[in-house]
Amino acid sequence: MRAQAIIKTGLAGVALCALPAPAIAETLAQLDAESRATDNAVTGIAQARQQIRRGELLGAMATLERVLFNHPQSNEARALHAGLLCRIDDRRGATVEFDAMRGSNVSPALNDEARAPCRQRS
Amino acid sequence: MAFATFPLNTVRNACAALAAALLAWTAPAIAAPKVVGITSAVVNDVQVKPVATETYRKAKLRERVRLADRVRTGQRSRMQLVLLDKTRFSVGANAQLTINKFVYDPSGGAVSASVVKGAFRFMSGKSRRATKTVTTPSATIGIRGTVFDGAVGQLAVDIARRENSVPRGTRHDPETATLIVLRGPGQNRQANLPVGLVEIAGIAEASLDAPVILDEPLKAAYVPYAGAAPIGPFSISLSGLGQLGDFILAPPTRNFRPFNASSLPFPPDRPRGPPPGAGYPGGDFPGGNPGNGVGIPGVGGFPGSAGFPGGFDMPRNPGRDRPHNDVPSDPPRDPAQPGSNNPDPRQPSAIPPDTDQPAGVPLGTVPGTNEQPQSEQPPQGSVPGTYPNNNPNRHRNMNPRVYPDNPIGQNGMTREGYPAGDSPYNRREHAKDSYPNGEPTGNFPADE
Repeated sequence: MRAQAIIKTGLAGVALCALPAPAIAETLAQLDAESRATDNAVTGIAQARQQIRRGELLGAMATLERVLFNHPQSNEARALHAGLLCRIDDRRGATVEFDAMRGSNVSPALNDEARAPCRQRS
Repeated sequence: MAFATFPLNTVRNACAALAAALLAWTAPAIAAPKVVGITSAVVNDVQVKPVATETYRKAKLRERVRLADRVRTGQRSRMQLVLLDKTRFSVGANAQLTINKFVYDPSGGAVSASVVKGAFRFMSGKSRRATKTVTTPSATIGIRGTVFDGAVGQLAVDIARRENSVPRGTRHDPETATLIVLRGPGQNRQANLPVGLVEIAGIAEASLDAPVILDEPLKAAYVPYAGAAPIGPFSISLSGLGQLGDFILAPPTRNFRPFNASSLPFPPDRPRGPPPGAGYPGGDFPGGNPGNGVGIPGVGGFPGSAGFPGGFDMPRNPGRDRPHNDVPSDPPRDPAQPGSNNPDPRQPSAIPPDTDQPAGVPLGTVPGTNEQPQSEQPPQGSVPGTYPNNNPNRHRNMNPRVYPDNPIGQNGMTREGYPAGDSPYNRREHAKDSYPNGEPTGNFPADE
């Protein structure tokens, strides 16, 4: 029994050591791709919309933050980011974001899209 | 007996050989600290100091970040760090961050980071059961599936001083003070996310048993100095939230107008805004504290501290407010000094706008393009008496008496009357040991 336990432990150790290398490389490649998408505001916002559709709200927030880092004038990114704050129930925080955009040239459609989550209750 | 011993010895030998092989295979990985994530966004001056070296070098976009690497940002700089489990740190200007521990395991795992100074946003990653902690010089923050904002240092003090829930007379340490604000997810979230929860404990042993728990969005806690117990939970004002957010995210650069209470979809949860006659330029500021703009006769302090004339001692909480001789109290303002015309000790010390940065400082380019980041200078033609629409430091300009209407940078002077680039704030900021060769402009020394 003891020998079996040792063997099992050894195999588990081998498995733990063997798995991460390719998994890490794959993960890093994925992170690179996500980061690369936000080099451009349009592709970054498109990626954020996809993440929202998939329910990856925190990922979408991070994506939009990267867009805003590089393109702080992007009203679309800021509006969607504010809408995401509502989705995570930070409605007053969303108000701050929306308020910062008052007077900005935001299309009615974008305004409706961004504010829709703030009118909902889960 | 022999039958029983033989296979066991064989197994032992096999295991020893296996261990040796594993050691040889993993030796390079052991020699170099493991990669824990990448710099997914880099704006302006971001530097990294690998653990094996003594000097910082300029960080690249999508650079691999290893365990114990120190990452820091300069003025007007931002960065985002994504770990392998998609835990994310969005870091504002003048910040310093280190990932101390990272174990990626979907069924558990651990993330531990330390923030020495600056503003940051933390977002949990995939591992919902991971043990996640962020430490600051004055607090330990335990995290459960959440998004929260934090500030360490002068920014935390500046925000906390305006919050009603932070008692007047509280001693603040601009080096170690920590402010934490939970952003979500709350109970009414619209996705399959765990409700966020943050526990904040001071570093003093006495406060470890009584952490402040934040379980609703915009609940906040504040640790005024290393050794103090956290103050909170309290609801952060919208002005404080905006101030913190602007340090993490780039503020909008045009068409910005300050808050207006009429824009709120809900009534303020408590009386807000400056008293009549001391209104925020351009309209009432719903997140402002009553009393902003009104001089406070004095502050108290711990026994032995001089305080200000007319000051008072805050109620003592032995577990929380032990005398802390190491923390200097705010020096009395010298009326003869520029910028000291504000008798309100709750107002921030004279903080020059970022426009103190001299002309010619390279702003860097937007990754992937040749665009220069948009200037954050105030717009031409701002209406006198109103708040500059795109001033990144608008959160600092809450007291119209302190900030006259003269444009920033006019005649080479800041709003407070300091020569550009030379103010107590700058001198204090750049005297810190984390910038041994720091320059008044906030630029990092050349790559070494």
